Amino acid sequence: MKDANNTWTKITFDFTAPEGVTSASLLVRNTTKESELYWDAISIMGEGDASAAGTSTGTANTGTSN
Amino acid sequence: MKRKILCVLLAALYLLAGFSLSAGAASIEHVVNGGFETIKADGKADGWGIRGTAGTDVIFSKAAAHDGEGGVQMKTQDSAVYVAQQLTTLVPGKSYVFSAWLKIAKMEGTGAEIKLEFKGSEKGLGSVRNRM
Repeated sequence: MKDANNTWTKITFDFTAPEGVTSASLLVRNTTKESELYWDAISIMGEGDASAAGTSTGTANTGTSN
Repeated sequence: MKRKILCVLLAALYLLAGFSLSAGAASIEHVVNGGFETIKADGKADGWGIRGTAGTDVIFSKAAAHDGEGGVQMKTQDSAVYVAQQLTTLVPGKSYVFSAWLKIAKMEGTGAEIKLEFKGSEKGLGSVRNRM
């Protein structure tokens, strides 16, 4: 876990979309207890399905977060 | 001589085909409004949903930006809060790079987290969780 040092840090990681995936929910979470976080410039770069481009929505508030 | 010309033409076609294939597999951005710069009339960021409970606060503003015109500030007292977006352009089996800027002003809990939940016609596609 990173410390609360009040400075900006760039977060990066790689992942692979599993076979059979048709959509995904991206959750940017702030977990329990008292906290104050700031996020900016959230990006996922990689090969895309152009036929589905532009259909992302902001309604991904379902999901099984825990 | 004709055979040489034919070979050169075939080689050129091969190169052109390869270029077209690579151009078709270009890397694109999959997150809409990842800089939180497009804000709707209701004060929420375009492309993003919010879920939280009482005592949580999500604010989209320039004051919360690392750079540019927008960013998101997420505050909690005793429960989780998150912003979320549905992604529909990922290709099965392909690799992706997630990146973001994060500033932790206060943290008394298990931490910030990025989670990707994969969905498809079959259940159990899994998820990726990265806790900061």
